[in-house]
Amino acid sequence: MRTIGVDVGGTFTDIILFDSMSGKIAVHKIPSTPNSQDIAVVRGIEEILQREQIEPESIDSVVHGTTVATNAMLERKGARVGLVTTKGIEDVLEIGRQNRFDIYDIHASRPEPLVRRSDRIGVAERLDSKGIPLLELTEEEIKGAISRIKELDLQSIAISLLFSYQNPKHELQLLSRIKQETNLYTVASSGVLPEFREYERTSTTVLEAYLGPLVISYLEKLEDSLRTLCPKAKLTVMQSNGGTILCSETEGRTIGLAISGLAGGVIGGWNIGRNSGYTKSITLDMGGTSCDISSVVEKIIVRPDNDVEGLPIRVPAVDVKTIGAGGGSIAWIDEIGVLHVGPQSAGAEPGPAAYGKGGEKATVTDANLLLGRLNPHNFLGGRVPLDVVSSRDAIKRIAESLSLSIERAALGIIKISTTNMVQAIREVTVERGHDPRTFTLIPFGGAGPTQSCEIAEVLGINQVLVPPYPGITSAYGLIVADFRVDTMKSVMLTGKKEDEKIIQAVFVELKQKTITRLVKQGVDENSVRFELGIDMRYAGQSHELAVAVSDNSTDYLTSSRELFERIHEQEFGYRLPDREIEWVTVRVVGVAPQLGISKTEISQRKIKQNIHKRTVIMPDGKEYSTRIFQREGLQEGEVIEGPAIVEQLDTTIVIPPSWRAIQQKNGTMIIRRLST
Amino acid sequence: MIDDPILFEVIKNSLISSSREMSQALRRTAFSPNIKERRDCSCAIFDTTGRLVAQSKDIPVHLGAMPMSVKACIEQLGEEMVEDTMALLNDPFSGGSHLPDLTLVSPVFHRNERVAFTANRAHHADVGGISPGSMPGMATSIDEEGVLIKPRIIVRDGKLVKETIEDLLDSTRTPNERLGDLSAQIAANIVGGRRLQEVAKNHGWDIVTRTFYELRDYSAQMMKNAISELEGKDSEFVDFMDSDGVGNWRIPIKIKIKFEHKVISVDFEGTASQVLGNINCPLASTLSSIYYVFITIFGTGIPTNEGCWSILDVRVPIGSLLNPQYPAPVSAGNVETSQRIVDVALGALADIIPNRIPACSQGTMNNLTIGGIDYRTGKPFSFYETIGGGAGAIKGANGASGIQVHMTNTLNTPIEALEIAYPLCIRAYKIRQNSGGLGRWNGGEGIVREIEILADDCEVSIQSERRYLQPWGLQGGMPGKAGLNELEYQKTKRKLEAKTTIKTLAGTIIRIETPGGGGWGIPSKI
Repeated sequence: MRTIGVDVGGTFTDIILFDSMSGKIAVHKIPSTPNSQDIAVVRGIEEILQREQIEPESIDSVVHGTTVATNAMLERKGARVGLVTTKGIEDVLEIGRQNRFDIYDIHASRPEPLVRRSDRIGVAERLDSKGIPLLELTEEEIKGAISRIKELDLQSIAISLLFSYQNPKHELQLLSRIKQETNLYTVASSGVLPEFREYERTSTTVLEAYLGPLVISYLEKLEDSLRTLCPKAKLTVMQSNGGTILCSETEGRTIGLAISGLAGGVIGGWNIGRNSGYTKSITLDMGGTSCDISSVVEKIIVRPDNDVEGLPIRVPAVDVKTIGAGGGSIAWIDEIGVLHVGPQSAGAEPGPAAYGKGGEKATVTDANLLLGRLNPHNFLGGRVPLDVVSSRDAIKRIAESLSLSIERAALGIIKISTTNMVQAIREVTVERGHDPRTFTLIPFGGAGPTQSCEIAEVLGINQVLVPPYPGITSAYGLIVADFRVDTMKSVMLTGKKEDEKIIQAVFVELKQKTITRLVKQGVDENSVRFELGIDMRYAGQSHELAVAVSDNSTDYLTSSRELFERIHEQEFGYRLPDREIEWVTVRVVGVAPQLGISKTEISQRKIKQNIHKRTVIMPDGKEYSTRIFQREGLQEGEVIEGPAIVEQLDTTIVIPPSWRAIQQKNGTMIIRRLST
Repeated sequence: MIDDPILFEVIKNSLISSSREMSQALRRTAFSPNIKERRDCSCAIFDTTGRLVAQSKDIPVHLGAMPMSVKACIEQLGEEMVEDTMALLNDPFSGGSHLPDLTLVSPVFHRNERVAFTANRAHHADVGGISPGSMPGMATSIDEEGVLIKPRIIVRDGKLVKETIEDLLDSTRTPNERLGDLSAQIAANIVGGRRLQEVAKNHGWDIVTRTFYELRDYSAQMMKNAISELEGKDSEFVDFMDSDGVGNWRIPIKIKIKFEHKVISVDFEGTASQVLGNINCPLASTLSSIYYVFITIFGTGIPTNEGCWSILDVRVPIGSLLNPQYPAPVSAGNVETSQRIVDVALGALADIIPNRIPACSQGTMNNLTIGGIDYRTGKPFSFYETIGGGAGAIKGANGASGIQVHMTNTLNTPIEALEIAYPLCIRAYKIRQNSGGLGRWNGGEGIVREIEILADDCEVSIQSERRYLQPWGLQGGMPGKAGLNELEYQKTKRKLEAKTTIKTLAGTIIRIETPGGGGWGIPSKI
């Protein structure tokens, strides 16, 4: 079985090809094409197939991590959405939950809603809390709404009516008529998130409408191209929850791709850390444009609700923080003469000044080049030649405004970029009550390993683990990610005797649904592992506890009741034996492992070591005559004392003085700080 | 000053996240919509003398007032607060705010010694009194507002002793819900205590308690730095409450602020004496409002703890509207008068630092309570909510619309949760167009909320402000529109007073339009 993983970053598109028969991995990297990501995706696949001389027909699956949805949200470039709501609550998005984000912010504010006031369409209809119509939806109202929609210059429609999760009838009527009479991407809240709380449901539904047209047309285009290129390959996409979904299944579920591109990195970094025996790790994915940071203790944290720029999204997603700090981050000086780095980036075009493509602004990459840390002839395996003179000119401008030497200015740029990342790491560790000093830092992306020891030093971290192919760790994450399907059904039971049958039946139904969706993705039915759960609460509470139950029980009611009361007592210190219990939602997660990839199968290419030396300015500001190694020439167990530089195809590793690196058997490199 | 800056940061953040976890436990296990959905509750951690160490960012009016509650427990119960006990109180004259706010205080022990306190405050939907919701508009004595609880132990050996709250359970209209919410409050303190023990297990109690002191000094120093450039400045301001609901109108609140000798002195001399109606604001809530103002203006990036207000010297005349004595009714003081205290303090500061102060926000919480018998279950119900409005504009930005301002930050109850719990139907919940004051930057707009009452013989109480005196603009900005309360029954509309308690029949619609915020700067075109 052959799988290709393609991860699109802001600057580069990374391709990884894995053959499960031979265990062989091949990697490739080309510049991204931000305006149509699919161009680089297709080109990259073509190139790797050609280079490795592999038959396109032999590719079974292509797993894709994309930032199309994320970028649309961050840049607010999604569709113009019309929102159809129950009359009287048209402003539900603008009012939100009525609260402000920071109680001590004197300028109380909330983000601009995604639907402007003119595009909110109220229809006269009403259900009560049980879903029984108080006011029927009339033909006249439907027509009225459709003619309003046609008057406005809309690109998609979100329908969210009160209590539609109880009874989707009115929403479905509107959905089918709007689809019939317009060509717009239209979604209904009862399909996207059949859950109570109108604001959160509406926000999620509107985001689906906001992203849908863009994401679907992107994926369709990509699938078309792939059909010609690799006719037998199934296209799957990484979801925010760290599992994959078949491309053809994404309509109405594009919201699940909100942070698709980030999840691959977290999974990849975590997998590599775990395979080396480290359970507490900080993954640091630093590319050209941004840096994605996640802290993992034991297992990946998937949060049920998230928000992007203050807009709630009620879909599960891995816990990751992104900041605008990468190799391409631009250094600039503000009006009072203070040096800043980022969040603006020179990206791939024109790129850092060193790329010689017309970029004149100094970036982190330029600073690294000037300090001797990057090799102008061996950056990305020599595929991107760097121009030292342009870098020097760019940094000279910064240095002159600051009245510093060029070297001091370059060191300053790196230092500030490091501080920005340190701050973000604190947020995902210290602010969650974890001491970063007890973690292993796992740097990857093209720029991560160049700065990682410096970052570790500031945080008091003693141990850095560099993956075998740091530049393509996100793509690696795509191919080692489990196939994962989350299904759920609201049941709302009170534990009557006959409820056992209902629970049994729902588990059977959901398992079937899960299997069907997994098999469609090419999974062997027998390899599917289930995680069963029931969300329960005491009657009258409105937050549930997730109770994991074992598969194939004959008495879920009794076993889950006991578990629920025990967990409630553990978490909150008490149980209420007289209170009724409610079984609210039944959940089934289906997980199927990837293709048996394991640590021993990652074989690094070996070349003969050819150590040379060059002058490098290390983080302590001193010049060192530094030995330069090739990663592919390192022997298992080989020890390198800092100061040293290790170059490889997709990144450059800086080992400062007082740090010691050891190339490990599984291809990773561990760098430890020597005790002082 | 700080021994180990990294450890300091780690423990500081662990303490803050411990209090956040307390809040989460409270919300997640609560039974009344007011707590589980609107999050009208707050949690914090205190040192052994009752000084605030860390808090979750919940409800401003609760947070600044809780230290007085903890101190009241320490003073009145002393050594009775042994391990695994918890004390309850709501007495507005010793550390409480208004009767529905029940505060639960727990000592944390290490080797038989008290090392800290955890505490939380939650607004209960009914604690007795002459009308459902325990915020009667016509009360003239606190005895009519519900059960007054002086600090008393209600949890022993980690278990609620029901007999100790018999008076509360007898007088509330919803005893079952009270028990449920109280167990959630107990859960929050248990979680807080447990998290503190974990932090101490990693670092040792010596280090943790040392950090308590370091934190206070750190915040105090940061506040001193923030006000250093204002040395010698002073200003005063006066604004008015619309009414006390029982016949007194235009009730003045006067403030004088002076920055001198690195201390901010705040004096309320000249403020009205306590009034007959329920807008008297207990001292703890008055202090809380002042703390809020100075934290928002000078200390947004500073960890909030006792150190933040160590630079404040606040004088509030005894027996005044802002420091009332028994038996003054107080139910609207904590929620309405507290907002006006913020207005007058900001008004005074606008003279000193005009570019950093926003115009007047809606200046009310629009408290609405509805109670009666739910025909679906035959049981009594008691619904309480506050409604957002317009925020004042500030130099450089329009005010936000439909948002909770200043002393509260409660969420709304989702319509889909509200209609399951109560015999009510929300007919409209939307932005009140064109209600913000125009300016170079415009004030935010208010909200229109229309609730149909489906049950017969209900009692409705409204406690609102800014129905007559509009939220002012600044630097030439126009005022926001005043709020409006209306009743509609069988197609006939009737205006309701700002503070009122009425009986209603099924099919009655209550319509509340909340005030807009003031504008900032002269509008470019009028």
